[in-house]
Amino acid sequence: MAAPMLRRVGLGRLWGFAWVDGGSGHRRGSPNGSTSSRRREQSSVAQQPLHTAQKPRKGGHKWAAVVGLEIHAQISSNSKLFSGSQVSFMAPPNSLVSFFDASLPGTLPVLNRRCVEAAVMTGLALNCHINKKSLFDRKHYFYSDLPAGYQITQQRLPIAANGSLTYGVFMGNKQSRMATKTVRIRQIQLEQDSGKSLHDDLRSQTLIDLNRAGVGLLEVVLEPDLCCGEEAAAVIKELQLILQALGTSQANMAEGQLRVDANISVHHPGEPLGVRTEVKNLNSIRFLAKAIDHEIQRQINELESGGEILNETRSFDCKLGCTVPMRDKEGKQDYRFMPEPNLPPLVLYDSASLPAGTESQQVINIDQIRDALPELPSATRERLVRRYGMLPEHSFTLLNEVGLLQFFQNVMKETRAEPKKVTSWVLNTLLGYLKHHNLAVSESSEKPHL
Amino acid sequence: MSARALWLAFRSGLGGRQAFSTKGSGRITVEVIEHLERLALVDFGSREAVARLEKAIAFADRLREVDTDGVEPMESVLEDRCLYLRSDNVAEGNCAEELLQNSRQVVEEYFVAPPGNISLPKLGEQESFQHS
Repeated sequence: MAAPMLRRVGLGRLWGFAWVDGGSGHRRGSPNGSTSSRRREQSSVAQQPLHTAQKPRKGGHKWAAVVGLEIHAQISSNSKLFSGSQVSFMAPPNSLVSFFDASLPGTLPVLNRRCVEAAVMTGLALNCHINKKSLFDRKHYFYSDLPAGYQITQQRLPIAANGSLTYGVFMGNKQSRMATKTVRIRQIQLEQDSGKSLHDDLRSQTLIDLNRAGVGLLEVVLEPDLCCGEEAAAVIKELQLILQALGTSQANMAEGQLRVDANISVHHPGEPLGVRTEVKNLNSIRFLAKAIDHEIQRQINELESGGEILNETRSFDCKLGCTVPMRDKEGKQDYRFMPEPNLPPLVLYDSASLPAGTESQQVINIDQIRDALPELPSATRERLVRRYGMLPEHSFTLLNEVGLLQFFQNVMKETRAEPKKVTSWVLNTLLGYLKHHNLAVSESSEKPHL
Repeated sequence: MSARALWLAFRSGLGGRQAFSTKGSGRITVEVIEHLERLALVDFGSREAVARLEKAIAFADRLREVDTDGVEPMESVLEDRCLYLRSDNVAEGNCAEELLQNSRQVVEEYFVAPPGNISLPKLGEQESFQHS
């Protein structure tokens, strides 16, 4: 069993919490049914006496924070994971719902090939081992936006595991230097999204729209290798770029296509890990960094004044700029995982193991997918550095701003000016101008012609 | 006393920590029953229902009599079948009206549900809960 910090108490659904679900963390009351579920049943409460027994020492005693992220990315596909209803962000309520999505009796799940391919592509891009056999399970909990009473996920054996994501963090006060770091990927799994709940507190009711129910999600579970909000933000940004480059997800946080939950704890270096809290409702990268840093500080303050950290779920209130506890009436959640009886194991092949004479539509060849992978952001940046002699930091900025790379490349096509001059102009003059006027690259009136 | 009241009295009296053993008597504790009722929203309304559950478990326990040493466990009875992969085409949906007919209450094409989950009351409060 891994580090004590990874003992989790699933909090499951959060009852009676009243806000409008904008498509972000609401359904993710469950810190996921991935490998963490094995440890789910064990409480971290046992850790608490350790902290309250210690006399808090102010100053001098360093704190280290441990941050683990769980990311849910909506798969960019035409239809849902197990049904043929359309996947679309805006549509009349309940118009993109099939009988299966509404969980009517007599319906069965049918796996969407595109979603499997998206999972394999993402797994390969994140250096994961692709499991040639993976399994589907049911995770049970009751909530109005989950019509079946369970979610089909991959708890026992996910489609990919043990990968890594390399990312860059700006160092120093002037943000001039770049350091590369790596975060380990525990696993990637396919699972269903739930519907959306709109809470109407006035009439004491909840309105349910199942358009999102059954949409394919990739859950990416990271090891708790991160230590602060800045690192988390950089990781999420890089993951966004990768998913967008692959085309497996549009990864737009504001539209709920990318949802991030953070598990945070603090401890003194050399001592056991602390009790962890889960922070949800993070719908932008900026808020993600703020929320994590705030929560780390809150935990430190709490412990230094002799208090204790509760293993709970908190939400980030962007107006107040702090994390607040989410109301929950249920303590430990028991998801009663069971194998999905209607789905055989998912078997993937590579060129060596491809069975002869099978219909190509019915088999997925990992090698074929690997060969067809588009250029990943890290490769793009390397190419820019090699070809134009720019600093790595510049290549990061070019990729991080939407549309800026395209603009830069268009300029380079049209001009005979030195690449270094163009780089400098784009990054300093143009970008400065855009920032000053709060414009996106696409909105600017500047044309690539010089 | 009503059958229900008798049953509740029985359950309150069954406070003893009888171990749930799969061999031997196969007794199920009150805690397990409550836990199951909460999780699955089933109602073990009578001693007979619990007895039936105990019998079902004893029946399934007979599987343990089979010697499975050295035998690789199956993942699913379907494991020798091919998992059919569907093409990513839109072929369903657009039946909101039909689906909404299944709902007791509807507001502008939304299903109406109670606000959040309502926890089952603990044992002891249940009598009044039943009557509310």
